[in-house]
Amino acid sequence: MLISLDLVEKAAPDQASLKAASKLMKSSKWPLLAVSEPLKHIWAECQGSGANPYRVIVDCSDRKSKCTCPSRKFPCKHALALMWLYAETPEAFTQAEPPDWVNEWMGRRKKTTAAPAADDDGPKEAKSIVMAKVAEPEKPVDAATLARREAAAKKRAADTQTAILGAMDDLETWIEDQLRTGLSALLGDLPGRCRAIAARMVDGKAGSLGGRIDQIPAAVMALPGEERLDGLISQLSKLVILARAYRAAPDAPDIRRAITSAESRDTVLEDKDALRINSRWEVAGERITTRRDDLISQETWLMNLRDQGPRFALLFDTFPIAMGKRSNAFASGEQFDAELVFYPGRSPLRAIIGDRQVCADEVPWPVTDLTPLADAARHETALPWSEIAPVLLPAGRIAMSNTDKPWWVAETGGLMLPVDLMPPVALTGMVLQKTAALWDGARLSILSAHTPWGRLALDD
Amino acid sequence: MTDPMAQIEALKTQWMTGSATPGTGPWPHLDELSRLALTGQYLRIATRPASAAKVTIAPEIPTLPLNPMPVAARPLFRRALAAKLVPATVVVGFVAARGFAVNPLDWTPARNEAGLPDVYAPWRDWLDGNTGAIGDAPLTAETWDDFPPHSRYHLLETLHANRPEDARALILQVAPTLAADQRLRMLGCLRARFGPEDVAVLEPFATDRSSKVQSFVRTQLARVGRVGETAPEALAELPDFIETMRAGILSRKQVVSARKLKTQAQRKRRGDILAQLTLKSVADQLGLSPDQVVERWDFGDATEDMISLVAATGTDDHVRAFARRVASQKAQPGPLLDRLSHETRRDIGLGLLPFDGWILDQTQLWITQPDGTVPMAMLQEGSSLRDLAGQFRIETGPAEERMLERALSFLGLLADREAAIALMDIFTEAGALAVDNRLSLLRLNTAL
Repeated sequence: MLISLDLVEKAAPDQASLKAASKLMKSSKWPLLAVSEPLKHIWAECQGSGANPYRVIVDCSDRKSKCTCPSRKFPCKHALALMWLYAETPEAFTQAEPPDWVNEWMGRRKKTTAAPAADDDGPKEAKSIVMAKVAEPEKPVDAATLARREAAAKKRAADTQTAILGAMDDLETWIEDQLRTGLSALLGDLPGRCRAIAARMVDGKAGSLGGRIDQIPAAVMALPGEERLDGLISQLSKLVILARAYRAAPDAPDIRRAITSAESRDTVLEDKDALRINSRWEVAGERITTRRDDLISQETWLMNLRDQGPRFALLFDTFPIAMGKRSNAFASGEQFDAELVFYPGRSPLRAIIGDRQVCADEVPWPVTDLTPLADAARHETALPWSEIAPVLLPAGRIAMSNTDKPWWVAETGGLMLPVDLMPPVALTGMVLQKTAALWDGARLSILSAHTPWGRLALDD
Repeated sequence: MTDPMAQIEALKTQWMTGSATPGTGPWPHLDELSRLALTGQYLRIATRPASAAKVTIAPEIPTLPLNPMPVAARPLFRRALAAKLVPATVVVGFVAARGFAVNPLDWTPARNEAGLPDVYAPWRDWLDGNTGAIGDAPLTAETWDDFPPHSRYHLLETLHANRPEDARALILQVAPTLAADQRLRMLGCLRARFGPEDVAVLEPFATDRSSKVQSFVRTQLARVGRVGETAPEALAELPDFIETMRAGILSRKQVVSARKLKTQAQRKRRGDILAQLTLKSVADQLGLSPDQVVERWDFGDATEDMISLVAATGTDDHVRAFARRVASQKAQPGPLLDRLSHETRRDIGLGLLPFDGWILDQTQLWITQPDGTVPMAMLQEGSSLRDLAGQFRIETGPAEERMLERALSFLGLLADREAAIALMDIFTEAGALAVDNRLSLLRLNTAL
């Protein structure tokens, strides 16, 4: 046995960690559990409250662990829960060769065969797995208290709506002021002015919208000078559309999500009307972005390899910058069978993974059509405030303009789209047989592509 | 009907300056924010960024005359490069020696990247934008300019190996018409298989207007014993710096050694003098044969100067003999390396293995492009492997850690595949994890 319950207790930083780990002891939270007994390592994926799972590794020889969660505790509750699971139910773990993400961590560790240091039992707090398993009794609630709670919740909701409507009024006033005083002045002071109105949105309970406004300066200033006015107009126009959409339909889930915050994972899973698609999915790419509002956003773009349901899905999470660097949740190109549950909306895109199974075979990318931007246009029509749309492009090449800017050019001719970043030089010498990318109306951001040399991922 | 784009452009201009007039432009009946919303949507849906006036699509990357790297080896190759334990071109050279080409999705060379195997000439040409179709046309004076630059020099070397008369005739015809750097490169194609028959090709360039070409010609002619005249004044000063003497208490062998000097100025003068002489002229002045000078040199002061002298003016036999002595003395080979074939350097380097300790730094000096062909029997001699394996059992500081990484990486590229598999077993038994980054080149070796 690689690890025992006794060692799990010793490894826990405190009783609170054991208690937190006990709440993860459900098999539904662990779509992947694996072990390599020769290498004395166990690893797993744990579905937390976010869209992207956490990847957890434990070296059973010295109980050192690694987890992609933002916790600063070592070991975190996920690593503890993994050790605990293995100690209690080793048969639930599949014997396997470690995947690349496990090998990379193992490869970086420099170990000797010297015996590991004795676990530090910490400041005399007793730690007990038995006590951690004890469920806290629920206090009974009387009808009057329930009624008070409901009334308070209704009042909070009404106050929130009032606050948001006030914020929308202020936003439109601000935009009108910018038009009146001239957009050239706004372009000259974009970060400062956007920061101010973004803060007002946060004060007005429109946190998502505030975060979005904070990203406008980076998006506009990334464009060449001659395109910035159009870029700014596009951004402001979407804010107007979104504000007016909220007034017209404040309870519409996709509008609320864009203005306040997203529903919790549990809320989406419990929604009987949520779109559920069981299919083979491939990780088309990941983007991890540091934002101006001190958050890091993690986007995992999945492509539906079969014909039923949306072509793409987005797993989206945000983390405070203070939590540190994020690791990829998946390997680009990884395929799995899964039921995705989509957040409700007019053009479903954001989703969470329900059940997932590893698969051994590989399914090819779907056939592309000759009007690849049609899907993006449909998405834009349904959600006119949306900023990007995923697209699957047919065969094309990366060409360089006479000003050294990269363009994606369809092999059949006709369609040419500017690419946001200079690709690796090798890419200019390859046919991109199919390309998964994001289109924001002005620039293409390539996630991955199939070439005669193999699959390319630009988020590596 | 007024063009909507023209109306929108006018409205944009007004917004830019803050001079928008209500009721003008598109959608005059709407409020300002509604017009903004519609303008934004119109620009996004009804328009697209103007296509670039001119775009250039590069030719496709050429395939190389090597097998594609096995799929299973590609992640190991990427990991080996990411570990940055040896230069990328050394790993690429190792992979080429095994008969495989790198996948350009995993790595492409930088333009003008030094140390790239010759077989990658087509990629060099592609990076430079030179991709003339080669097809089956022979390389001749008439077709010289039709071939991409890097590829044609690579083809010339192959021609010199297979049809040396044709190669010589081509060089004599084309080289005089080239710029100095291209002329040097063309003459350099003779280096790998230079022999007495090539002397007639080089001699016309002995007085080339480029000093680099002259120096190259001198060095190559020296390989076959053809050395130029020596300045008599320099020869006259030689006894001030180099002498023969008897050394050793019992054997009293004759050695050739440098006189002890007191000042830096004297040492500089010694270097200047030797740079003007040849091995033969030094030997004649000392009353010895060049072979005797090589075998009796007393490694101490002036060794660097002597190494330069032999490298510049010794025959291939002299250079080989002196190089072996330099290696046994653990001295720096310097310019001798350029005079030695890959095989000779390998032999010398492997000869050091049993005595080199676990760091293998002397062996690494001589074998700068390991080709994965050394069997386990050779690697097992001496205590180097045992000492190396022992490093996994102890805590090491940063300096030792760096040496360990270098030694393991070097072994990873030196060993043949069976030896690499055996080494992985030895090191994992000694306590290393199979996926340890320090073993990344060994793992790559086992996969090719």
